[in-house]
Amino acid sequence: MTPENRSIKGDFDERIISLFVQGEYGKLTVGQGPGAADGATESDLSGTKVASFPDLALVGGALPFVEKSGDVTMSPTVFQSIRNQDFEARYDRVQYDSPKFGPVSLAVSQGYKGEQDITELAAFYNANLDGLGRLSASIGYSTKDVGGAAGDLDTIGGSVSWLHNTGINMTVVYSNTENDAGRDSDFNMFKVGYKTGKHAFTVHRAQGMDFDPVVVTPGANEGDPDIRNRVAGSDVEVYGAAYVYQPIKRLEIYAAYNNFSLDADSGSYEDVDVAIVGSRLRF
Amino acid sequence: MKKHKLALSIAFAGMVSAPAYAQKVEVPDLDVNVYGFINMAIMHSDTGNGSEQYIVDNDFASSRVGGVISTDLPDTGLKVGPIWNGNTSITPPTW
Repeated sequence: MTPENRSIKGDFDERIISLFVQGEYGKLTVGQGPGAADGATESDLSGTKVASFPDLALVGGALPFVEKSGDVTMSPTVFQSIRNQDFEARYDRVQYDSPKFGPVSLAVSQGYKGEQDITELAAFYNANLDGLGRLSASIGYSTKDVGGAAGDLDTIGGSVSWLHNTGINMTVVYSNTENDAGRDSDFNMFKVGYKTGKHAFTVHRAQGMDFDPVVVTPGANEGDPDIRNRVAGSDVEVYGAAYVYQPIKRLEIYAAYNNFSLDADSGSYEDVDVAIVGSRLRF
Repeated sequence: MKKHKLALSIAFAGMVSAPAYAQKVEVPDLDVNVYGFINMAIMHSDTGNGSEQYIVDNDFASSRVGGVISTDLPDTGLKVGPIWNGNTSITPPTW
């Protein structure tokens, strides 16, 4: 869906098709599905995850940061400019999930996506803290052999979320991705909120640095090569808020707002504002 | 989530209209978990090109349906089964 076409019909896509065997020594899974570290940057006890997810560009991502001079060849989308750099959500892999060692569990996966070989490692921690509420934390690492000049794409990321018994909660996310061609992009997010009964409210600040999006626009005349411009030194800041009302366990009604602003080595950009009101019904 | 014993009724081809001949196959101890959700939202956006409204599948948690079927392997302590999950998707960039 784009501003020019608001009615693209979604496909029904196969996310997971796997076979598993599970016992006291853990779980072995073979087939297409999420990798061992998938979700490691997405620990969240705030109650507003459905409306304020770390990968903020998943809602409104196709909107452009309009360059103030009107130069469309230097106007990247939000989706190109900030991501939480979480791990692979679907590929063909063999995965082992350990049993829980107290509050800790480990996971490792190895597989491929097209021509790319992928290895992932992760650790997850979930515990009730005596008198201090709940703590959920995770850390993951992946290396992806993408070939060519980029070589290996290495990602490390994690998240910590704490929910106090009073309902006050805090969540921190960080990730870094590097490759052999000089990419070195960072993402961080801080979220604080209050959760009570059927209501949850959070405010957040996120930042994506050095994603350096490449804007591809068609040549002026038919047959001309595409124009490719890199927005060097990109730095996207996001400020937002979310509210979720959950009248029954199966139903969430939510509203959220995000302001995205882009700063770069050159150019000056208009902000992007996105607001959503929606509902999720589970079955 | 729904969890229940599954009983399969298999009507052989050509016998669908003659249920008296249908074969009923009991599959004991097969756990079936079906899950999913619908997650729709109205989005308002404002950029340097102006403002617009959209009706979207919230990709923070896109609508999906899935299932896990499992059964215990006797005398091993093991549980085996397939997992399937599908969702709506639009090729990125998405909303």
